[in-house]
This record gives sequence, structure tokens and C-alpha cells, in this order.
Amino acid sequence: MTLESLPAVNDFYDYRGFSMGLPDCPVERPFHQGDIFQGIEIPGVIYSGGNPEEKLAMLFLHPCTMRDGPLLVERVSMIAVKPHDILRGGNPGKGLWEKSHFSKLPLYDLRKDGILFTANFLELGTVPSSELNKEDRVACLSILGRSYFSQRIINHLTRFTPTLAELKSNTEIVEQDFEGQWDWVEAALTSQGLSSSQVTSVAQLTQLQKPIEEAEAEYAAIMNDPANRDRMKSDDLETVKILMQEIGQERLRRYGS
Amino acid sequence: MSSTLVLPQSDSTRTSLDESLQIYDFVGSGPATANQRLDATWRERTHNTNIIAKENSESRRSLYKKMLHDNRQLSQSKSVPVLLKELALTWGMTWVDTSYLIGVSVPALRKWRNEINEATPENHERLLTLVAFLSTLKEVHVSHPASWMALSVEPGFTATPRDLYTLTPSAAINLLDYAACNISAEALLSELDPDWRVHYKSEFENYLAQDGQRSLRRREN
Repeated sequence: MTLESLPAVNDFYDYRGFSMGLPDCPVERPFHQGDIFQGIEIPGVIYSGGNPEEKLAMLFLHPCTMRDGPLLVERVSMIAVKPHDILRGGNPGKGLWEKSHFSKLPLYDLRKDGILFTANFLELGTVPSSELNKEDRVACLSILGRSYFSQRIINHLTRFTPTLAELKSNTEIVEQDFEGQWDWVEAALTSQGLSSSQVTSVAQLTQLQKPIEEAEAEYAAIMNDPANRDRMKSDDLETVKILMQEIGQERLRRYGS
Repeated sequence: MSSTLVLPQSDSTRTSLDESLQIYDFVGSGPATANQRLDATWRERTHNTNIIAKENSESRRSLYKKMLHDNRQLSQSKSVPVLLKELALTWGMTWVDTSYLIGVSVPALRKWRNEINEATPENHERLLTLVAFLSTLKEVHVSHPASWMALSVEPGFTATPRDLYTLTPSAAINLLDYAACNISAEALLSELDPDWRVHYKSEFENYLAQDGQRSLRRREN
């Protein structure tokens, strides 16, 4: 199996860029693999400039390993993201990424400014998770984008190339948990009259952090219940889906949405 | 000279044994032997069974079409946010799966759900059809339609009902026929994607690793 074709930009990202200084990605959305942040300095990586906009990094850890209860683990693995240097790196064109540049993930129009960035799998390091701010989240990959990212990095590390469909089927349950947490946080905030969609400044966005953390802790308490954890670890998708439906009903009971 | 059995070409006409034997006698060099008579009997039965199977299939699929239509009518008055809530809470569909089946992004669905943006009438229709499809799956005794949609239909291949649903506008009918155990997975796949053995071949399988994490490994052939 060879690397699959790069998806179209709109299919690759769920959210990207900033508008009026505010990130396109809602802060209610939990951290996920492939999220790209600005203002992150990976030790040992040389950046072209000192501005936060020039220090981009992609969250590498899988959701299974990046969380410790409701919070991120103390330190997370990140991949440096830089503008693609056509002179030195060559211009492989959109159709040729599957045949070359195996150590890179192309990020076309990452900031909606037309510039091609790449995540470089050779520039990978560990940073304190406290440096990740959702206000500085530049982009979030779609599930297709995450599968494509996984395919390229697995190929880079092992030369094995699972298909995007195989990778997607492997993350069914992780995605359930991710969506469950997002829905929970969103409902908890909405019940307090809060929503990032109504925010007009970064300061207001930052104020949402505490209620988000409280809601995340509440969700984590449910998921950490041994009985629920066992069901979540089940190899049977139906068991997991029924658990998530029950959590959804509980969310509806507590928050009305 | 060996005789050749000639059977009527029309699918719509059932053949009687006598007719088959007359054909034998006509094209052969003499009266049919006992073995030829038996052979003609089996051919006749097979032929007629195939015709009945085809008629059954058409009738069944008409029924599934009607069931889909009836279930759709039941939801007709529901708004987009209500349909999305039903998909998530009643049926256990993830946003990712719903977005894939409807053909829109997850952010778009979330905006419809929170009434930040409105869905187009076409997308409202697609949601109605999806809810009707899940209801009909339940009627043909699929215990948890959302899980069923996400599971591979044929070992060694990644194709799921979720993938097949998006292939043609009428794929839902084929899937209902399969869900009701009327046709095999192979028949379903061949009807919807003749090249399915190439498109969905899977060399890796999921398994639960020793540390309890879901992992991929190469399939043992």
C-alpha cells in the first residue's frame, strides 16, 4: 500500500486561522491529535523569527496518552511546523506528496493566507502542556486530516502504510470519547449563558477557561468511574455507543442540551 | 451428435418440465434418456427458483422503500436541531459519522445544532432520510443501528454500511436487504461497488493490545 492522496483543504481541517484575533476553533473543543498552536518553542528547534506566529507546533500525542484525567499530561510531544521552503525543500506539488517528502506533513493554507506549511517529523520534542493555550490554537484537523497525518507518520517511522479506512476504524472509540467531552463542555457552558461563539475578545475567551476546566473535570469523573471505564475499554462498539448515549442523556438531564 | 439443452431466454416466463423435455426432443437425436429427464427437472427448478427469487427481491425492496418513506413521513415536521439531537441521543450517532453520511463538515453540523447557521433544504432532506434509515434498520431487527453502520461487513475488507450508504442514492435499500439477511455481504458489495475487493482490501486489523490500548497489526493470511 502506498500513501494516499492529500485530501482537499476543506476536508483536511475542521477549523483554521483567526478572525479579529479570535481562533476559528472553539475553545470548548478538547485538545486533540494534530491541533496546531502558535507561540510554542520546542527545545532544539531553530525558528526563523522570534514572533509567536513563527513558532508553530503540532500536538503529536494520541488522545489515549495525552490526558491524565481531565487535564493534559504534564509534558506533551509536539512537532515543529514551519513554512515550506520551496527553494531548499522543493515543490512537490499537491499530487506528489504520496511519493516524496515522507518525513513531512503538508499543511496547505494552514492560516487561510495561502502559505504552505509543513510539520516536520524530524523536528519533534517535548514541551510542558501548560504552554498550550486554546486561544493560540491555529488549526484543528478533521478526522480525515488526522487519519492522513497518522498514515504519513506511521509510514515515516515504520514504512508500513495502513489505509486511511483502517486508521479511522482504529479510532472509533477515541472519537466517541472526544465528542462526548466536547458536547459535555459545550452544554455546561451554554447552561451558564456562556459560549465562545458570542465572545468578542481574547480576554473574554480566557475567562471561559475556568468553567471549561470545571466541565471537563465533571466529564472525567463520569468516565473514570470503574464501571464506565470498563465499558469504554470494551472491544464491542455497541457497548461503547450505548454508554455514550447514556452520558448524553445525563448531560441533557443536567444541562438541558 | 450430442444434444444441447435450450432453455427459454425470457426471465419473465417460467418453464414447465414438459416444455423442457419437448425442447430436448426437438434438438436431440431421439427421446430424452432418464438422466436427461432428471437434468431437465433440475434445470427447470433452478430456472423457476431464480425467477421467484428475482420477483421476491423486487417485492422486498419495494417494501423497504415504502418503510423508508413511511418513517420519513413520521419525522417530516422535525427541525434540523431536533433531528440532530435524535441522531445523537436516540440513535447514538457520532457527529463525525453523521457529517460523513450527510456530506458536510463536523463544524457545520455543530452550527446547525446550536442554531448558529441554518441547514439548506437539501441537507434537511438528507437528515430526514438518515433518521428514517436508522428507524427502518431497527424495524428489520438491527439491534443498534449506529454500531452496525460502523462495522465491516466482510472480514478482511474495511467497507462498512457507513461507507456503502454514501455510494448511491438508493444504497439504503440494498443495505436494508442485507440487514434483513436476504443477501450476503459479498452480494451487497458487488451490487454497490463491483471493484470492492480492490477498494476496501485491508492488510491490517484492529486488536486490543496487552496494555489495553486499541492497536493495528498485520492480518495473518
